[in-house]
Amino acid sequence: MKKNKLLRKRWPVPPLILFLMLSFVAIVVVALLAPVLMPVDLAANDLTTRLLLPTFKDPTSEHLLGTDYLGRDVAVRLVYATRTTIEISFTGMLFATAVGTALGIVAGLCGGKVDQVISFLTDVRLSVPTTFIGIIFACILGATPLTTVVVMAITGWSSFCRLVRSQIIQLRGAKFIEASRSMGASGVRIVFEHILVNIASPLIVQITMELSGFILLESTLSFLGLGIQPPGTSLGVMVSNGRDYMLTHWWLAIAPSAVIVLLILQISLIGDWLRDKLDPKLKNAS
Amino acid sequence: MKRYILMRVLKALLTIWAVYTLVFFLTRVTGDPIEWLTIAGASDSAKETLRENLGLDLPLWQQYFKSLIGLFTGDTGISYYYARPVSELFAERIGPTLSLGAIVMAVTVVVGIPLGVLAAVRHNTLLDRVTMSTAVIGSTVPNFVLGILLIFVFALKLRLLPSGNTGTPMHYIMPVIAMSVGPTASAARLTRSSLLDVIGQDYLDCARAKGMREWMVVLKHGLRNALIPVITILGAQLSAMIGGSVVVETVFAWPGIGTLLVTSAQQRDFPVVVFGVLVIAASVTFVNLLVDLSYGLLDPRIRNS
Repeated sequence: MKKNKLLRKRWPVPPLILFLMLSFVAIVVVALLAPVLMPVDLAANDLTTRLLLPTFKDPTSEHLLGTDYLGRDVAVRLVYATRTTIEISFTGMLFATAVGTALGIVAGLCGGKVDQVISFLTDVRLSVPTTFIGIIFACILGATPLTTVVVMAITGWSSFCRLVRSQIIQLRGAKFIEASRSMGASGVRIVFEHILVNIASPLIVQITMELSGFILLESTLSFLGLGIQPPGTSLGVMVSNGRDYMLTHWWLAIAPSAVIVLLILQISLIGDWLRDKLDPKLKNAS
Repeated sequence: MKRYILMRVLKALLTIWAVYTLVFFLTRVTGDPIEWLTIAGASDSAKETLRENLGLDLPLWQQYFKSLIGLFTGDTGISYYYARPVSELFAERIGPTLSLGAIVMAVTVVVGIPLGVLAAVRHNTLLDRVTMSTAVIGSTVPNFVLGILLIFVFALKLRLLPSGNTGTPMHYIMPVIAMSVGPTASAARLTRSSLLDVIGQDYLDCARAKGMREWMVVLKHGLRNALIPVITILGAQLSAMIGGSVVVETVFAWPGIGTLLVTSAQQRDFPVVVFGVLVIAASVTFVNLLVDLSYGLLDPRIRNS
């Protein structure tokens, strides 16, 4: 029994989750360092080297995953595409978390009319499916990376807001908050010193769970042609381009698809584990 | 109860109105559509005629009220690109979208819920583990990736199924699979966890003690009490499903509302986009209203309060 406990202490993270985390961090680091590790001009193309075979089809090939319809190395593009997808999803998540948390704090602390207005806004947002909000904004602002980030902030805030609001309503009556207030702490100080600290763990769980959704959203919008535009690339763009060559060059669409599935699977499994670990109450809720 | 229903209906209408108003004004603040509808160097008189034809010569607030009243009189405006009434475009394309959606919803309920029940009843067995791992993978694979994989295997390699468009029942197989795997997996996971919460309760032992058969106990006493969260999530899934239909329709060149909206967004065809969003917001809000009201049917405690 005692030995068991010690073992568990040495391995606070199960090996599978540790592996997922390390591989995820590795992918993120390689993707973000792409311009340093393999500086190429994304817009350059060479039609003489179009659609070359990958190494696993032709061992003499210099291109690990072959080249695409404009003669560009697919493996290099895949790293750049992952980089775009990761950058956009992380930025979007940052904004969604900030907006949602702020509105949630306001709704939870003010209550009354303000709370009602914010909950009405949540209803309005939830009545339009995420993909359609993407479509509307691509239509209004044009298809740019910034639009995708805006869409993420607009679609993502409501779940953070609801979470923070319900946590604050539970916390509001807590004795330590009352004590702090009675000692003359200002509202801002209470929010930063007590409330944010106490809602941090469910918030982290929520962020992880939402991140896979944002990666999916970014890929979907670029796949539909409503996100990143050429010569830029993202995983969705690569899947969409590769689609036309499915019959002869299937890896052009399958390789980026595999990266999308891998990223989403990693994040959701880590998220599930975090949720069980940090927030046992939520274990069976979805 | 009547008052509660009335309040809920009013709130739903207010939500739909807010969505319409927001989208209407958002699409009008980004410049003059005439500029990208005419070729460079078009004469001013040609521009004026087009402006008048599309009703863009009126002040913004008049355009807004005209379109709002039009929704009730059946005048939904004219598409910038097709130069045809928006309602006509939607009428042509609603059939394929609705038939696809109905089949997907049916698959989700008929496959997802029984799988969840099975996994919960055989909790912690191999069957449970296999079902749930499949469900985790199923809910993480994006529908467009799944669609492309299906096309690759069944249309390009095996040449068994048509890769796109509509017509025969064969055309439905791949879009239905691509669209229903995610929702089915979520429904199965949720039914399982919600049934597991119920299954340890005393009243199930009581039913067993009465001599009821185990499957009757699970279905009649267990599942019925586990269904409320499942129905809530199915309501929320509908929204995700409608969003997913856009992607799947694009992958399979399905001549439905989804493809219409994606091309209209790329062409900045505002009347089509605004009307499409209105239709979708209305259906999502309406279904969620039904979900809320159905709680009363499933739970007498809510009905009588």
